[in-house]
Amino acid sequence: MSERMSEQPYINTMDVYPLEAAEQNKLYKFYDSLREGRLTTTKCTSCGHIPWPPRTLCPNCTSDEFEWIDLPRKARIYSCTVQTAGVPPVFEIPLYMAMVEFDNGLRMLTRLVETTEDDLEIGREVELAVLEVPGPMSRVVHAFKPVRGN
Amino acid sequence: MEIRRVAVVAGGASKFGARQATYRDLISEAGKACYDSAPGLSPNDIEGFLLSTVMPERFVFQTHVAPLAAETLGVTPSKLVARVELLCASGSSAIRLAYGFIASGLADVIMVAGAEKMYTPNPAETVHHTLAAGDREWDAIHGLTAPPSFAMVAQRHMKEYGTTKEQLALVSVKNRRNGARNPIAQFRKPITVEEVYASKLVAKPLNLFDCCPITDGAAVIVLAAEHRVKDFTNEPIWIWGTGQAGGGNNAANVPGWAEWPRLRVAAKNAYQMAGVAPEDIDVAEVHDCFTISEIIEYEELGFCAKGEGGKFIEEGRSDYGGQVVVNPGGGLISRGHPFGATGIAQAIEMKQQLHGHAGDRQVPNAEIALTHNLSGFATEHTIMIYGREPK
Repeated sequence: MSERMSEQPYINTMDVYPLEAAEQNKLYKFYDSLREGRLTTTKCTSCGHIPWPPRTLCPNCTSDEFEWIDLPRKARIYSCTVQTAGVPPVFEIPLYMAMVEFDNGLRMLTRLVETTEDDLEIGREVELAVLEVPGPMSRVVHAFKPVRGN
Repeated sequence: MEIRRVAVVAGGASKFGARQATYRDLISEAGKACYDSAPGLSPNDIEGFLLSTVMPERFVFQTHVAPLAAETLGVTPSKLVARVELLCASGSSAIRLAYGFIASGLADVIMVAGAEKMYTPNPAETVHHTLAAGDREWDAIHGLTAPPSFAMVAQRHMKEYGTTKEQLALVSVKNRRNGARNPIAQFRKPITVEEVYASKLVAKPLNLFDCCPITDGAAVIVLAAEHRVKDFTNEPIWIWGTGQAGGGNNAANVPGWAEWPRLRVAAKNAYQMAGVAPEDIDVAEVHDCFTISEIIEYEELGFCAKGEGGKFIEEGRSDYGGQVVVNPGGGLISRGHPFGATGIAQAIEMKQQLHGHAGDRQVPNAEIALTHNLSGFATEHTIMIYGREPK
């Protein structure tokens, strides 16, 4: 499928994933870090505000100066579901999704991988997973997976 | 500046459903119904035109749609022409804006149309387009569309307040029963709780019949300043109050899950402006995009205490003979949900209810009506309060 797609002109509006490279995206360092297995966000160097998702304008003090910080690798499920019908074409059922919460109170919507329905429990501990985006461009996307014993 | 009184003087909708019709066909059909509702009204009376529509660029590959729709309806605007987009709450937002424009004296007569053509030959394409509603870079990358969003809201409400799957299903049963009596509704067959359970599981805990459908449809109303009202109708409904509050788009920044604090703000402002309390509302059309939504809306609109929305439906308090009849027109679940047309269709239902033209779904002696329209991850809320008499 990816081979056939690469023969077609690239249609950005049918692409679920953002363009991640420095030529296209001021937040490209997020994706560079993720490729190294690190989940990051921006921190405002003026007021210290830490948002999710990362931002180039601080909603708290309106500064546009920021640095990158690492987020914890682990979080807990705040709410979750598994979609079993009507998922968008590039996704497969069952599609596990959760809102996860870090120790610092920050929340993040994420898909869950390496998961079964037994893992879908509010409070369940999950950890970062990094996925390759299929297709001709080299891109990555973050996900979480349940923390298993040992 | 003097605030002028404003009324809805005409309204009509297309049939809602999976339609063998184009975007423009739907607009024509709704426009015809609107003109027919007020024989004194002609396209030449209309000074302003707003079109509520969400993603015609994706569904029908058309932009610059407000002039297209105005042209289709014979309207040549002299004071206002624009498109309004606020996802599922575009319709009420357009009404709110038209209200402000007329109340302030910038125009006397404005047509507010809403339209969405959502069915595409390949159903997967329609679902793909709805990904554009979320935060594409941070949420849609995970496949997040509306059903899993509201499924996660339901999980929180069930955990925090003990809301049950049966209570969710009862919302669908009520709204399907009401929609069965609404000629424009997409679904016109009542269902049972067992049929909700037996419908396909979409996103736990929501089954297919807990969800509103994909819908093609259009609806058109006309708003007028007080001194023009009698030129068009003897049966206006008057805008007593309106409120709107927003909370953002990214799922992580939603200011509440089982709680919808931005709805509380919008409701408070609307009630205050109208000079009414929740218990004064006789009839309401609320945004039941999913069954859980209507339950939370009972609570945040003040129809019942926080956490008691499940009990409210169970005890029949949102049904005929109860405290307030909610979604007599079938709501989004039964009437259908063509994004941009929904808020307009809510207003039309209220015009029919307040003047005794709702047929066998008529709410007896309804005088004060409320509509609630939400968008996104239940973050943006728009409310209108209408009265049969001017205030």
